[in-house]
Amino acid sequence: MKIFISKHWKLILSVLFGVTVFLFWDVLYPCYLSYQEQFQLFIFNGSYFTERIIVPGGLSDYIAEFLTQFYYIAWIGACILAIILVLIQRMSWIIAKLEGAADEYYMVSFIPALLIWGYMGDENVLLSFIVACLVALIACWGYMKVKDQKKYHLVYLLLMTPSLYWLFGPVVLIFLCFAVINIMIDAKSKLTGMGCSLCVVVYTLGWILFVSTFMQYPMFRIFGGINYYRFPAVIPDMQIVVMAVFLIIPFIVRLLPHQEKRVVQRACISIVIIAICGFAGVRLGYDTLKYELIDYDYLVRYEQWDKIIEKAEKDQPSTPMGVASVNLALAEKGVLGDRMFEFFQNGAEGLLPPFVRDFTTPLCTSEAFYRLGMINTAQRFMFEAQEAIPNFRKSGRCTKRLAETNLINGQYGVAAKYLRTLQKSLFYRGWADKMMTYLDNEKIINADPVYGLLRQYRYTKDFLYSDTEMDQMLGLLFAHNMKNKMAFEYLLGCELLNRDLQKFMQFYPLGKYLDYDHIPRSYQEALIYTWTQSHPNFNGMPWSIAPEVANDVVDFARAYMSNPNDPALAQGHFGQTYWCYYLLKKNK
Amino acid sequence: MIMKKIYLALASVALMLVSCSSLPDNPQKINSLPKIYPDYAGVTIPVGIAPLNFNYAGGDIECIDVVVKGSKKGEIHSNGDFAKFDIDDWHLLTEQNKGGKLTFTVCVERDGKWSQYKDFTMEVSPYALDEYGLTYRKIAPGYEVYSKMGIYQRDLSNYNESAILENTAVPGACLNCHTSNRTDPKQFTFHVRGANGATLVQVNGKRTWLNTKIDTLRGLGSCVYPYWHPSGKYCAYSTNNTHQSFHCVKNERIEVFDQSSDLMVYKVQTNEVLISPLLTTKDHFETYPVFSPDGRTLYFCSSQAQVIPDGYKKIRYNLCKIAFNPNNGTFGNKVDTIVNAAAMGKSLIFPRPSYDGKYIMFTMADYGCFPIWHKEADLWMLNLETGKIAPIKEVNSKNTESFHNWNVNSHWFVFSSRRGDGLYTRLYLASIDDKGKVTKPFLLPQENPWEYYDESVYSYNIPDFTKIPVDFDARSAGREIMSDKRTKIKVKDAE
Repeated sequence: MKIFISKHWKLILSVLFGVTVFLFWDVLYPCYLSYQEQFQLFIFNGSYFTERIIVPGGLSDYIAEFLTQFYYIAWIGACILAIILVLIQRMSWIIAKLEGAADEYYMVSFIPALLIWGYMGDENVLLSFIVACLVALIACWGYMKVKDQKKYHLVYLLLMTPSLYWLFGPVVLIFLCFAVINIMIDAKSKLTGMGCSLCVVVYTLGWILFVSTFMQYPMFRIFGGINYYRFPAVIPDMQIVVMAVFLIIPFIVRLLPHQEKRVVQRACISIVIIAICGFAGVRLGYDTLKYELIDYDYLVRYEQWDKIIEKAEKDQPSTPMGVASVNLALAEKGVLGDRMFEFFQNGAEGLLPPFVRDFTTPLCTSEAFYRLGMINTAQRFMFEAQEAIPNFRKSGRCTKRLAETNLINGQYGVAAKYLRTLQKSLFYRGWADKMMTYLDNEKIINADPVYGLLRQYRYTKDFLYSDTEMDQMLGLLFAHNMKNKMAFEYLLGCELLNRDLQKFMQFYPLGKYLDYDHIPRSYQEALIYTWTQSHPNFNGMPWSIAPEVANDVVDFARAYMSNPNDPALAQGHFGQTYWCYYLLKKNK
Repeated sequence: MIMKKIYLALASVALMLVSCSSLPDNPQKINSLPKIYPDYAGVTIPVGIAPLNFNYAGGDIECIDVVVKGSKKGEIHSNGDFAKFDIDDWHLLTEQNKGGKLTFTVCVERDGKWSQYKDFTMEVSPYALDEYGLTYRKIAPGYEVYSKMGIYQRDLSNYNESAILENTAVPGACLNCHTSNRTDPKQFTFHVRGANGATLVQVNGKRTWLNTKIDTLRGLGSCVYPYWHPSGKYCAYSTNNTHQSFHCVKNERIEVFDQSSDLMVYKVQTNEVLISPLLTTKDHFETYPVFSPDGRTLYFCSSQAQVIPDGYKKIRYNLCKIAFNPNNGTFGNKVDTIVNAAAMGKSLIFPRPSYDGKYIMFTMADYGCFPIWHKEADLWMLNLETGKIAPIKEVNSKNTESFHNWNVNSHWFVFSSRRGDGLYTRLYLASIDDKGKVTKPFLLPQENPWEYYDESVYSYNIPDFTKIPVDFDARSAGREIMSDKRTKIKVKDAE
């Protein structure tokens, strides 16, 4: 065992690294994988390939998007990322070794992979950049193999430079700088070295500038990458740092002193230091609040309502999207009326946040509208989310939902167009094949448990959407179909969150059309509060209020009257009541 | 563009190697027309148009074989997965049969057996379509957010499309309302919306970026819906306070309305906008200005102002006119209503006079100013000689027909339609003869039309003909847009 470890310790470290990366994404951040996958739609046809390949870095995009589609299954996505990061680490080591690095500094070769792992915490860093960096390392390794053969050296530079730029983008600058440094190191004279380096630099920059004449992109993207980062107007500083680190690590390792004594100790120290720093760096890269939202979106996408509620019970969200996700989950579990005030609420916007021009927030709101039966609005939010994707990609998730909304609305031509697109993908194909049988088939659609029901829920009388009159729209929705329980609960929820008890009392009686076996808790709290405003006791109260609610309101009232600012009113059991929200939280 | 052509050429070679290549053998005759996409049976085409390739739309087949015979001369043949004609052969055939017709014999192979359909014909128009091509904007048919979009030009003799300006050159920008002067792009204007907003006026290669916020105190904002004066000395614009709202029922999506709009005429030489109180009234919305071919009349649409959004269904535009003196840039002292669409319970939008002075084509909808979202919108024509108006039934469908433009000889027009699937706008061309007879329109040809249009996620807007290729330095323009250097416009009130 000891001999095995001493012989293969480097490989073992790489494997351990790979397993850690795999577990990181498969266990801790599957939401990241879903997030990346849902904002693209890889299509198996010639035009998709052509569209990618006609811009610099296009092959990198194509390969990355091909791989990203597999994130649809989390463990495969985690595997892919683990393999890529291990390849980066191994390539970094191979190059460092060719530059003369000593084995005891093997851990330093993990730095580029760790850095990129941390950088990927920015969810807008695209796999295209990672793939491109890996290919740049391979190109550098190729250079090391041929640099001593004059003939091949020149041919390699001449061919690799334009190809690398065209196919993989500005990572050619890593290759360029790597080649220049090696030229300077290996040159017989300083002048020769500078001359050759200048030629290589001019050749590379000249090619890039030549290519730019055919491209309708600003220069900063021509040099900074067209699709390395999801936002086209931004080249993050970290991207440049990562590229610089990829370049200099082999040379730094080469410069580190090698001594025969205490090799094992140095190796162990480097393992510990780099592992700790790596862990810290990666941890810092994954912003908790941001990933909370990404996780909520992931759970909503896969209808994991119980998990959403569990997550909120551990750590209550306070962002509109997080709150909306929790409310949606509560509604889907049929406990919105009972439990909504156990969680943080930020007004009626916590039920249906207003439209925001980004590509993430409208997704959750669209899901809520869809389930309510506000199909046109769900369609709009989903369409806008897709259009808002900054790098102009289409989304499998959005296209799927748009196919559904158009199907429900009988817009079969448009639905068919989206379904045919999905039929050219890998993971949506089966679903699309099945849905093709629904086209123009009113019988199947009406009999479908989801689509048929939503058809019954949706409006039939036209009006213009107004986000300042949400309660009225919900009221119309419920009036159209009084079996739409979610519409009723969102309507009452809206009035409660707006603190409009008059409207709550007006709409509450409509609940008799639904199959409630008890009055939901928060409704009881609102009813009993309203009663107490005009009655000295509970005699004659027309509703079935639970005794504990009656006792609680007495206790709350007593505490509130003695000290309205008592912090205990906002904590514990009282803190989860509608009375707390109604009386105390409006001042915050 | 070059790289795209190389890749497509390689792909074509590869496809040729795997396509079917059997010929019809004793086909069974079928006494009906073949189901093809696009529906090109009975259309009229100009000489030199790109080949009207088509796909078989009647189910899965192994092969389609098409023989095209000219009534006067010539014959071409296609055999493969879809009907695809050699461009040069097709051009020659159309030239040889100008004024005549082309007869298409279509055979399809299914389960190893051939069937032959009833022949259909295409007329080759005696009227030339000399313009180089079309310009248009491509954008997804969305609501408020836009993804990739741009203004493009397309060579009508083949399938080449190139970008004039895409919003990749100017991240975040929205580009719109590109307009040449009577199809001559040597005078060209378009509008940029967004953080670096501006109105471009390009004359003979010289670009001027106008400050879009002209005089906000007077409600004179961005310059949109342009139309050049035939002399090139002026360009009419509208300034609109536009909003959108969204329908909640299945058959509707968007309602676009103006809460106010006024007209102005920009004088190129002096960077002035000329304003008339008759065109900037508070109680009417004036929009969509167009000049008559002789430049002495300004036509426009005008609606009684309504409280928006409550009164959005009461917005109905009439076609009006006012005299214009191009010598001194002054307006007449009265506005005449030429077509009272409101009295018909309709709204008249996008008037476009033919360049020969005979007609004004326009879009008619039930109400409103933005008919692309109205299924009932159709193309109508006003005969200026007789004063009669009528829908152009040859080109209208059950879905939206909307924005249109004429070619210079006024025998051809291009228009946008959503007849395909009800959402994605496509372009159609049709001709009109000296007697006013309009022919069946044809969908803008593509190399593989089914694949192209089915995969395209863009709608076509603001189509127009272009006499010559648009020469536009997109890179410099992108830099200029981002630079925020703008020319201020002076306001000159009518005397």
